Amino acid sequence: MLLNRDDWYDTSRDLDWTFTYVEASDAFPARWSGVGAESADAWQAWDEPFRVSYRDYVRIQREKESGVKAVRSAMMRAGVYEKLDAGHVAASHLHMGTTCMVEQMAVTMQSRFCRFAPSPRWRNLGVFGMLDETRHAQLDLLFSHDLLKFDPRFDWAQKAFHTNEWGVLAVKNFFDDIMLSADCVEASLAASLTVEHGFTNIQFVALAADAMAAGDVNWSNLLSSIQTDEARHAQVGFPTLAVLMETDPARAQTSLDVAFWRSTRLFQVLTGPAMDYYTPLDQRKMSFKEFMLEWIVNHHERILEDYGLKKPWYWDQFMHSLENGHHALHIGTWYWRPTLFWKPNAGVSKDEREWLREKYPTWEDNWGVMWDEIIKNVNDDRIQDTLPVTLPSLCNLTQLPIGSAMSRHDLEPHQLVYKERLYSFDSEISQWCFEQDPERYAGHRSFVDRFIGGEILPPDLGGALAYMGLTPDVMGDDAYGYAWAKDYVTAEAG
Amino acid sequence: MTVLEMDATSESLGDLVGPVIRAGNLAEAVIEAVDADNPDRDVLVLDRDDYVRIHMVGECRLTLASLERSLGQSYQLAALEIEMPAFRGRLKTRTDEYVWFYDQSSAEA
Repeated sequence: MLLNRDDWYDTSRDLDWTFTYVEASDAFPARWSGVGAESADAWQAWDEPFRVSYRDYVRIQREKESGVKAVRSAMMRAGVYEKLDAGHVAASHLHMGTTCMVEQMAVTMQSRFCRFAPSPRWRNLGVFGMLDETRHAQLDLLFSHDLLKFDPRFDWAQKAFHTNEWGVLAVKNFFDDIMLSADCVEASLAASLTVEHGFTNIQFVALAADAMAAGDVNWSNLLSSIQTDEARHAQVGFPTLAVLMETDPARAQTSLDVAFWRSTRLFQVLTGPAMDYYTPLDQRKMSFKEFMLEWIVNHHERILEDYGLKKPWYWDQFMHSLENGHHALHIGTWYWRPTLFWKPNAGVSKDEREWLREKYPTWEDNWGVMWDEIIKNVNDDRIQDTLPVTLPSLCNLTQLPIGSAMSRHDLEPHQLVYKERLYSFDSEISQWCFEQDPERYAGHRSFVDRFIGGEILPPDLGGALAYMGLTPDVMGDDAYGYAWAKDYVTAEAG
Repeated sequence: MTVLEMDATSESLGDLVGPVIRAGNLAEAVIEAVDADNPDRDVLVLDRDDYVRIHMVGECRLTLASLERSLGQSYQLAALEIEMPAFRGRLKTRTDEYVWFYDQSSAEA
């Protein structure tokens, strides 16, 4: 009789070393495992919820690949990309440039799980995670390569992380921290649990639904297929959390609270504008805030409570930021559009504005008044007044503009001096994150630090754009050439 | 008991658990199988066009036998992953059964 997987699974996943020539702490240094000798035994209880065997893995991944490639071939033949809305296309440029190499970084993180994780069961799953992430990076490159002939911006799937583009530096700063520099336990809490179980759903499932509605079947299918891998391998975060709640719950709470805020801020740039401004109005499924409530508040936070965690101490500020942060980042990125490698849609025509008011009752007071100034300048043919001449001050934690975390009325400074250097933050929460482990963040020099330090020459916007690697063929501009502003001409004239 | 479309109230219930399946035949079959595997309880469904939430309050069982009956063909539960980009709650996977659950109700958590 053939055994089924449950009959042999427990035996197969517990293959471990008994050390005779080296100390366990030399083979599995705490610096990489994240586990000290005092709690080593506790990790024997690590038990994955989502079981995987190599035979099943290969069979299933092969089927996933066949599905993605069949859709890819059909959509290329149908010439779907050429028919997509210019606003929506910006979302895929932004995604490929900022995400492809994060998938590659995740290969390194999963490799660390394979080698240094404190449980043989976890090390075994790391192999599948490593193969998953290799698949994601390669799929992104393949998708982008197919579309390179239509737009050189798809070259940024490979190129972005080799430039100093400011938004890419913000993404890289976060993932360098939680994927490349973190020990297994920290990476598991921040990357597997917070990013993969929580926030990537916003990009890979919710935004994929918008993309499908926008007719971008190929990209939508790619995103949700990738997330089926993430949903499985993100599960390594939960047994890690369970052990930590037994051995060091305070560490778990702090790590997750830091990762939750940093993820919130990052996805306010990556996904917020794409959902609420770039996706054509008649194709939007829900607002960014509504998707965040569905996926982050109801779906993600609830299970953390099941493990005994409390909501982050800054929950009320998080909810306030949910109302505002991505709107601030959108008007900021649109204004500094020459510093982008995609063409943002302003997304504030009269109909779009009505939608924004309905979804965000405070939008008009906070952001509408600023767009009114921009609209007036556009319609008075003063485009130069809608363009930047200098750089925004950046947060030393998130690397995002100061003033972009909350409403436009929340501008009190958050600063501290650490080892004789002044650090500035976009919020009380970012300052708190820094204070939890200053050495982890202190060495990094933001784009503005580099500018002031004389690394960017000539010291003007042109020098900054050259330093970022932005060339005229990819440099950002308004997606529709300001056509949306004509909505307001009659009203203004009247 | 019955399959219900989620409304704003049921969508915000704290104890919902269960899979999120990409829209299509498999999602329909999972709804039917979950309904059969959890007698006398409501299956709450939220269709977002591209993905479908298939949830129950507290615990949600899905057996291979029921899913094969719904699909009308042999199947392996491990293959559910191909169409499942997310799920809500904890998960226990066995060859013949998947169970989504919470250890504590939201009132206790």
